[in-house]
Amino acid sequence: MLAQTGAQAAAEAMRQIDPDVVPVYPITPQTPIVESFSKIVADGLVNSEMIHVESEHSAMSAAVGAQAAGARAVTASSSAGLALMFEVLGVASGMRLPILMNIANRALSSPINIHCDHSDSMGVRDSGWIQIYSENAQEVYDHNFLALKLAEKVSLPAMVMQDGFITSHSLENLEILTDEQVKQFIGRYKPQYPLLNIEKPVTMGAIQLPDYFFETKRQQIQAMSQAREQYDAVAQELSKLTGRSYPKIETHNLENAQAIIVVLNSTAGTALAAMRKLKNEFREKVGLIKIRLFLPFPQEEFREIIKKAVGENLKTIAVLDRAVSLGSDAPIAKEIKNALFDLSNKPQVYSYIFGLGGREIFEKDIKKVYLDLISKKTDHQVKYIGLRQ
Amino acid sequence: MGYNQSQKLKSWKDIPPAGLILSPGNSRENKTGSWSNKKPFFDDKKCTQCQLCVNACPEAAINSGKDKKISVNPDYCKGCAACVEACPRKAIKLN
Ligand code: SF4
Ligand code: SF4
Repeated sequence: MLAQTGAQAAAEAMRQIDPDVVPVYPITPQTPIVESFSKIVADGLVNSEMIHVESEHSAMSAAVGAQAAGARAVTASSSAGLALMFEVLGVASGMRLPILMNIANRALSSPINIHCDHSDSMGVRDSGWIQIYSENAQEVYDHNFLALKLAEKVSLPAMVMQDGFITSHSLENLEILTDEQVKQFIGRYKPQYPLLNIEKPVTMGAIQLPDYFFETKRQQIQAMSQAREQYDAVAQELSKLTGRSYPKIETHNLENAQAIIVVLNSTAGTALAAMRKLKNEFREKVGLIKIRLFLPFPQEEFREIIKKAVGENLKTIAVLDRAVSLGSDAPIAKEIKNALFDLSNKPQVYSYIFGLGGREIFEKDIKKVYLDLISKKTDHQVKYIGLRQ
Repeated sequence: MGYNQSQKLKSWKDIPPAGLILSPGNSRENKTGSWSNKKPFFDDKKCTQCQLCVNACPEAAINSGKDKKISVNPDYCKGCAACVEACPRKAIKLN
């Protein structure tokens, strides 16, 4: 057991993964991840080649080059850094390179703000990366291995999210695996077509015109479905080592729940604490869903969970988004409405926006959402938690 | 794609991932003219077989046989009309 911040947990996982190449550029609040990792490199505890690049665009480009060569590349970013990588994120996924990236979620400018919201990772959700969200430092640590193994199985890059500052800078207890267990679990990286294999030369990233580009994209769509299918097997294998479980969609108290909240990252912990502190008469009526695997979104599973809950008692769902999709529904709300569209017996879905730019969310705020849902004191207008009206 | 396409295109299940090219020297397989929507036609009556169009073609898509008769390989012609401009006899039309 170690006392570690979320950022240190990510760096510790990276130490055990011992990636061949780590090209990084610091940015608040991701900086302590690379700071901790550079200390690990300086102490000679890993064999990683750390490349200090001049921007995040270069960081991701170097990761692409390294991974294409046949190396394991891991990096980390936040906010504007992730935005600057945008072009190369698509190159990584299009070239089917299973790069691993830790994200400490932070608001995107403007106004400039260094605090947590999910506009950065939600803003790159169409870029072909697997996205796994973490409630706390322990999940950050565990998810690194889960994401890496899944990514390499289906040849797609993956990012592991943690809330900037809230998780990245808070000390928590961390249970760690032995280095040997991690080595066994992740195994050696066996790229199918490494660029450095001179016995079997290949050309990567060449132009594809209208005659084949579409087919290549169709393969990527297929890989995302495979990630959805193969996730459970990888998660179960990791569970055997850690004793913790990693369902794509984690449910709490859904039996008999009339109203549930859907949320991801650290606020899932706040919501769980709030739910447990409700008076008995209310607590029996509410539940919580935490989304772990956001991309590929587990539509089928979500639909099945809700179908079953509706069969019991479920009437309303409040989806809490820490990001907005300006001009449209918030990202998670949209996914959920989409997943439930075909259900004949649908619960009401309400969208709540909270925590933009690091605005605090408290247990009392979550409690109020639950009480509003149960007492039907809500409507289909989007609600803003903690915003001055 | 295009017309006169002589290549049989493969399904997404039968191509390497990520648009990888697995064997060198494959430029020959890449029918670069697939996207052009017009190809040149030669009027044999007007053509004096001067060969100016052969040199003008940036894709080397115009051939002249032993008999000096001019023909175009549509797989590589990009429809740029450089040959049309080059022909002193106005013997070429794009269609
Ligand atoms: S149209 Fe252009 S590419 Fe085609 S034969 Fe003429 S010069 Fe060559
Ligand atoms: S340039 Fe005109 S005349 Fe000369 S060979 Fe070509 S088509 Fe014939």
